[in-house]
Amino acid sequence: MTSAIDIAGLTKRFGATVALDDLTMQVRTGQVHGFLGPNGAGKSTTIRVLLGLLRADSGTAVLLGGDPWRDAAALHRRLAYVPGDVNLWPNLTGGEAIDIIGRARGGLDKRRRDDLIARFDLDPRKKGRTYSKGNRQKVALIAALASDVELLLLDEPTSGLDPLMERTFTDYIRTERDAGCTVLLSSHILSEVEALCDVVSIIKSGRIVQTGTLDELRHLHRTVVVAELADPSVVSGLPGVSERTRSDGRTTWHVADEAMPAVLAALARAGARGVTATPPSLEELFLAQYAERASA
Amino acid sequence: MTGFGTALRLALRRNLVFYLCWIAGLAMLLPATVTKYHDLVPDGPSGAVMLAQLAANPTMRAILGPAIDLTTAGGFTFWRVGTFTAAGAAMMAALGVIRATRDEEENGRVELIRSGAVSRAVPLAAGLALAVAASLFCGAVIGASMAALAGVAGGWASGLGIGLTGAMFAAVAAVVAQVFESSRTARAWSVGVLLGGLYLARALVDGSRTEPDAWTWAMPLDWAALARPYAGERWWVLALPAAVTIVLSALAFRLEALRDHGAGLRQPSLGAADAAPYLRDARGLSWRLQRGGIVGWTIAIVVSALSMGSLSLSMGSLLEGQDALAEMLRRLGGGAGALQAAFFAAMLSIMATVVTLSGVLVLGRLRQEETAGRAEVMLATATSRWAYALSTLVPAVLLPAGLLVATGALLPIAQAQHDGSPDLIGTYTQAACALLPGVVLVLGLAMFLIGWLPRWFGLSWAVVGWTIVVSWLLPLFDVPDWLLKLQPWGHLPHLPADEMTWGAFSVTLAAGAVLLVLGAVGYRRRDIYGR
Repeated sequence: MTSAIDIAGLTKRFGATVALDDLTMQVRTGQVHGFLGPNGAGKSTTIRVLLGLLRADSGTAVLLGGDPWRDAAALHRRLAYVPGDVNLWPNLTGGEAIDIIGRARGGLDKRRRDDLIARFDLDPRKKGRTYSKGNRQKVALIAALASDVELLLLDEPTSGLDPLMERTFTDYIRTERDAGCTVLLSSHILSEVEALCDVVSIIKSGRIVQTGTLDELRHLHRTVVVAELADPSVVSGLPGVSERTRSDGRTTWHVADEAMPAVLAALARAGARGVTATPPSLEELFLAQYAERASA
Repeated sequence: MTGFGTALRLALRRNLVFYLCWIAGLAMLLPATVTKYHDLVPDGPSGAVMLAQLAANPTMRAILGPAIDLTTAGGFTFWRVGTFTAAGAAMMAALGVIRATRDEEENGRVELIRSGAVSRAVPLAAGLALAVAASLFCGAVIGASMAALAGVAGGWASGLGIGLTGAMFAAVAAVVAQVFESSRTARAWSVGVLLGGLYLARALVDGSRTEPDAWTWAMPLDWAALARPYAGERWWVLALPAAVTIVLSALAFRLEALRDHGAGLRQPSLGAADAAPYLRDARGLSWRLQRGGIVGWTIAIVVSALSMGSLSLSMGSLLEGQDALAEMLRRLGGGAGALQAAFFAAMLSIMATVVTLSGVLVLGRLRQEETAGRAEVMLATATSRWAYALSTLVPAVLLPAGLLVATGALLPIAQAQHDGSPDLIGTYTQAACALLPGVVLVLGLAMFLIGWLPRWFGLSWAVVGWTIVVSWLLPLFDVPDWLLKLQPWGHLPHLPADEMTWGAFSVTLAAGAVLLVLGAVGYRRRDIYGR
């Protein structure tokens, strides 16, 4: 498999602030890659470096086999971008904005454009200044999705959409992926990431702190096990296990992935009842990173 | 009116600098003119003859307003700059009201205010009250200074007339702000259509009659002059703008109660669902965004060049024997000997600064689009930095250059027709071309800032402001020659009085071109900031 995006040791400073700190990350061709991180972690900066809008201080970035800074205009024919905070030309209509963005990229598919406008329920005759945040986002999304491109760079594209429109968006991205399109999706909406992404990278303070498939990430974190047990110490004493709460005879443990067989065996031996084992949700994975930030 | 005080303080806080800048500019005009009166108008019969000729000139009346009594310093001053200042105060007040009401509402800030313990009409009331207060304050500053310099009654009549004209247009804008949903449209209507239209109507009326008549009375912008400051004040006339202010304010509050928050009484019109074929790249987009401004500037420059040009016909008789005034004109005209040449040269250098302003305005879009986050969207398409910068830079240079050359060709048309000497047109077209490097230099500087120090782009406005002061104002005062030359046009030749000096021409042009290229290179190399 080849890489659509290959970033190595990327550093970007704004004055004294280090926005990207030796960031390394790969997005394989054909993948939907989730890009998660708290506000200000460097998601938008990374995407802007990939678009050749910002010039990195050091490190390399290869985008679709080219240099995002030097070959910007040529590479941009093959990709589409949706910014996180869409601002439209106040006196151009939404339809005009979609057309100009699409045409400037090298052309858009008129049938797909009209289909998207219908599916996203957008009135393309309204002036840019009269759209709500969600509708501005739809304009940018339609402009991006109406072109036939190899790569989509989406910076929190659904933050203003209602759940129905978010669903439409999810469906469309799936179609794009099936057609072989690569997607880098920065997002805060974890259900969206879980539903769409093959691989997830979590960025914190300008560095990728974790990357992998959702399954891989789950294995790095502890499973929550709850059971009714007369003597919880037979489990609590095992290596890789920490006891959390005990109430009404029910005990909760956090169990490392490698300790699970021993815990399950101990639970069975002790005749435990009402056993549940819950793998960590993406939200917990994510919150674990936030919490580390808070304590750091 | 719960919360009025708080809202008023907030409006003051957000608009203080806006009003102070306007008032500082407007309040200066009358006192500055009255102190120069004795330099401009000689004592005795020759002065009276000159004033009579001035008052008889239809173009002068169209530009300045009805000539009521020019024989006193105060009366002359009010004619020269009073009506103009009143229109300026009207513009300040109208813009201020839109700024504090529709603008804030469009940006969602009024919503925050109104969710508090605040009566519904409070944002409108605060914006309107502040604009009226600022107009009256501006009038008071003018009144006090004129009272001290040229007589008490006339001074206060001038100040009140100007202040109340401002207040009247604050109320006009308050009504307009209820009608349109977008602040841009509201601004265009209140300042462009209503104030601009009324100023034009006034110019037509005043130009076509020597004595005020019913038509003059129908012109709200003439009311301040009809109160006759320094010409036997007619105080009751000032009740007219006051009454209109009250009636229109009441109407604005009534209309405000009829509409929803965020909405206008008039639904915004829908546009095209598809873009026209020419909207396919940065160049098409730039034309679409700038065309209104380009057309507006072209019309304004053509009209002013033609009307200023027609003044030259009466120049000779007007300035006969007025050595001081003729000398002043010569200084404005860069030292030309013949009066006619001095007049055209003076008008050309003034217009050179004005058309440059149009270029900087066009170029400013490049920066605005970036800070608004829209440059990012276009640069994420197959649009190179180079193509994107050129889409704005090319019109920013071509527009003022074209307008300057057009001014050179249009200024002498009336004179050429009168004298039967069409070669004047060629002569002054050349003279305009000789000034082109100055335009390129200012735009080069502006582009350099965009390319290397984008946050300092505002400096370009300061440069344009400085060139206006140096070309329009400083020549009238005794300032050293080097100071007059300290500007982009300073070393360029004023044809046909001067010899063509290719050295200064080439150096200025080259400096401008180098700055333009450096700026474009910087723009290609630097980071583009989004929102």
